[in-house]
Amino acid sequence: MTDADLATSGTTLRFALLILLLLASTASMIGDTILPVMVTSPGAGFGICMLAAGIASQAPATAVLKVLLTQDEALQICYARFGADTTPWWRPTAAAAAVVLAAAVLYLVLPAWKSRRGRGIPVGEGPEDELGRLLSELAARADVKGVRFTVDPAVATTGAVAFGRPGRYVVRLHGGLLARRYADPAGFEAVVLHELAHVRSGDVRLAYATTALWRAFLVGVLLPYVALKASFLFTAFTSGGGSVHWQGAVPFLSRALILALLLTLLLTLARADLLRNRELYADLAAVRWGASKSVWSRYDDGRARGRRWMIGDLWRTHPSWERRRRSLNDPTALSGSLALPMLLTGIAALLTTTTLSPILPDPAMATVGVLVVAGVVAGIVVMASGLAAARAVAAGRRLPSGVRAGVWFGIGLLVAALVLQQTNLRSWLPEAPEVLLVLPVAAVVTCWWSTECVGLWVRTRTADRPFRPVLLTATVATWVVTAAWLSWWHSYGSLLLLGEPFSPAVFLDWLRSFGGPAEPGGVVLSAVSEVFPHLITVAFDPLWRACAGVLLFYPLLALVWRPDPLTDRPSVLRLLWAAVAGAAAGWGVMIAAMAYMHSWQPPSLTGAAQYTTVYLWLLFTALMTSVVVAAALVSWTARRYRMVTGLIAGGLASPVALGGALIIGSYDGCLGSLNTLSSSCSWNPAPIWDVLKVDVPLLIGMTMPAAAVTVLVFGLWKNRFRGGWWMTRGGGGLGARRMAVASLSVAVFFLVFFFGTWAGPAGGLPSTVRTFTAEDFLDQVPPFVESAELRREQRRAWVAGGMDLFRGLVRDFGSVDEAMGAQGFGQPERIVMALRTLIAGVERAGRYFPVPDAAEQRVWAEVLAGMEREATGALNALDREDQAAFGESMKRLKASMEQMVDLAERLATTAPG
Amino acid sequence: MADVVGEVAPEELPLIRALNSVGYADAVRRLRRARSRKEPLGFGLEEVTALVTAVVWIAVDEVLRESVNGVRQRVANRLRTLLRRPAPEPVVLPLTREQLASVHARVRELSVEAGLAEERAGQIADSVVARLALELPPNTAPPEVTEG
Repeated sequence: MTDADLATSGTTLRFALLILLLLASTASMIGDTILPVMVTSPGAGFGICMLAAGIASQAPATAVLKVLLTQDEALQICYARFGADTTPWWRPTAAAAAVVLAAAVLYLVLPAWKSRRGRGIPVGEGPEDELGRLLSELAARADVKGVRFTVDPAVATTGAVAFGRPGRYVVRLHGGLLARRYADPAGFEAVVLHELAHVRSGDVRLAYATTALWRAFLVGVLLPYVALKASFLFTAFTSGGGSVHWQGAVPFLSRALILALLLTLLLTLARADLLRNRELYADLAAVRWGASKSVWSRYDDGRARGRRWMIGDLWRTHPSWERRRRSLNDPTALSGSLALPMLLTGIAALLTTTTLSPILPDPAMATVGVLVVAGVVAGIVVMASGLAAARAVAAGRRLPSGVRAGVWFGIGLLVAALVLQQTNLRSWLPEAPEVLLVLPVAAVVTCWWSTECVGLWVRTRTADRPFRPVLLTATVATWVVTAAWLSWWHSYGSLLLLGEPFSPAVFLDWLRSFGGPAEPGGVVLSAVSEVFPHLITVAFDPLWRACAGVLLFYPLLALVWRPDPLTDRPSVLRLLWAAVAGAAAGWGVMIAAMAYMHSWQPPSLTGAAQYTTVYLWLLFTALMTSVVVAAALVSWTARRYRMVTGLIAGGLASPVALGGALIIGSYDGCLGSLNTLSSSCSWNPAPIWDVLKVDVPLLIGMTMPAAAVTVLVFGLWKNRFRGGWWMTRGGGGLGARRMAVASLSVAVFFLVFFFGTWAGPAGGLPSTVRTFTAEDFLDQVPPFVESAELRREQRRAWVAGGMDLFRGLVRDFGSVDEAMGAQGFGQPERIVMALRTLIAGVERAGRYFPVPDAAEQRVWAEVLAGMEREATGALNALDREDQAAFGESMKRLKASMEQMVDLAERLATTAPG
Repeated sequence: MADVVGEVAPEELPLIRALNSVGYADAVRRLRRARSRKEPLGFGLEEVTALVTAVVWIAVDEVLRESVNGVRQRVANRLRTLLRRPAPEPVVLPLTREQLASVHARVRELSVEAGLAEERAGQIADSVVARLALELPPNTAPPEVTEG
């Protein structure tokens, strides 16, 4: 595999991403729109069940989420009763398979269609044919076997085209090309070699595979999807005033149409961009095989000029001649502008993962889906911006910054997230749009870091070796990083778009119930209750921890691997000094915290869990300060490799600061007005370690994000220190460097693997500490005030959704009555059976949604309780053969039945009071 | 046809051979409609060459259509379509001087239109007319030349 092959594998990955996107969109669009309409009655059951449960399109997302979380079982039962079962996962998969099959057939048929009726007449067959000899000589030069040459005699242009399928590739020469063979042998050779390069590098396969898949998707999925959504939207508009639901439906129906438009645009532009890229590589291969470069300098289409052309160029499958010439003369120009590829990659990546996760049967498979997409994205990032960096460094040029690529990547993610946001169906923006900024930040950091890593590692190989090992390891490293934030986004980050899904008040209550002296003012605890729920999402995720390790150690390893005294590289020793400076700032904060804690130090730590909790959060702040200061110092003063060095300095600062804090804290008791945990002076590391070890998992989770954001804030500005090279100059003996890095690595690994679990606040929690459940958070959801009209609809839906249950109960009661016969116990076995069925029916009804009206819900609960009581009573009476009691129970049971029917009638007819 | 092209543009012989295998009617139709298509994975060239083949073929076809032969040909064509038989290769019957002159003019015109130099256009036209004049069906008298 040469470096050129590596670069084409970058575009192959982008083709792969498009194919993944098409498959995911197929399954998702079929699953959520097309199949339900085809297989079941459209949404009738769904609509009634949802409305009865209290889900309305006008309701805020948090209210809907609350219903979905608390009423999930009842909803599923209700759907099942209506036959509107949620689509099983294999159905969309089967439908997607059908679309893929159609695409496969199309793929096989397309070449035959292109050669129809004299459009491809074989030429150069037979060994004595002079043209045939020339063509097979060219094919041998390009090392392409089994390709057929045809001519389309009627086309007067001097071009050619390659198509076909594996094993049966065809290069079709245009009539004009053949006519000019003697007049312009160099041109003939260049064109044929260029086409052979397309065959050789698999472009034909990819181009026609995407074409076939796109056409099958367009006809089989996208057009039906758009038609259905548009018809729903049309119904919503025309039934306008009459329906209470239509205003709520418009934004999300329109968004579905925008999604279809975005998909079309994305697929068209991305395919054209990829094909343009492949043209450049085909040119390069043709020249490598002996085509004359002068052929390319003959043509000019003037397309390199003006902005108007740029827009038009986006749709073309061929780059401008000027661009083709430039990349022939200078291979570093091959990468070109990364804006469009990265933008499209961002959109495609998030569209794929977001549409993939709901159709996969379980979260583990969804994670696998995210991992696959992250792998493809990592490959794309490294093969695009990483390869550009490697070429630049190898050519002795300035390392290109990955920031620009990252920004475009981030914009792509942002666009997809906005179109896909599912949290706020009522409007275009999610409830907390600022959360979306996480995506571009993560994208910029990833691309920036990855580019710099490639730049560092390329220096460790000897000049004439290929880039391949560097780029492959960089891809794996970038994969881990991308997978960590992408999977965090899907499992947690996207939830934050809801606003405040986990109310801090619940956490504050929990923290306050810890016991011991209360914190004066309570400032720290209320701040903790705000950040704590977010921090724990990164503290215990193994993927996130792996990401932190990779961010720190992958570039660090390059710095100590093979020192290169001739070039400027970041100096590990100086980065360590920066880390120590940061740690010193952290120790300063720690000392201030100790002074504050001393002011309300309890005589004994036993039972003072609130005190140690406040202390451990202050210590966490001190440790994070050290990370931020170290990263800021480095990114502000370094001239190069700012992201990598900032992350390394931050990553080294945190264990240094932690060690220092442990030493300071071990003298607790000897520090006078700084004493916090102890009052007697002796070397005692146990109490401070009890506090600090709680911070360790949080520290591991937060060090890298904090350092990265710091670098983004400080490192994006132009360096003010003109002579500020000191971070990036070789220095320090190799042995010392290796020793320092090795010991720190051991320390960090030790921390990660032995103290990565949550230890709970020191001092032990009292038994009075309150626990909290999901409902605690849901209780904080502000009540949704429905309009009277909506409430009437909901009451009706409740009756309609429960009608089967009511009928079943009445029927069971009827069969008890029937079994009783005229008098006495009639057939006791049948009575027992019928009563048991009735009780089961009551239990089933108990699992139905609560009545959307508090007063009526009380009536309903009473009715159900009464039914169960009386039915059980009747069973007992039957057991005792007590006829009188049995008769009484049956009478009361009948009354309950009547009450139930009254309730249903009342709800269905009268307006809410 | 092959003779003429072989004489003025020998490099186009493979085209003639290819076109011959398509059948006359299809060949003319496609030559007339010849335009460049933008295809993915092509070379990206939209440069059009002047194909001598196309010029000669179209010119001769036009003349044939205008001649009496043409009328007969058209009737034959209709019959052939009805019977679904492939087109027979057209036989160029001896032409009158006017007809030859008009072929000459038409070839020149088409050649210049296609972007060939005036001189080359004349050369091709001469060669076509010379070849047509030689087209003597076996066992017939020389073409009757009408004066005027």
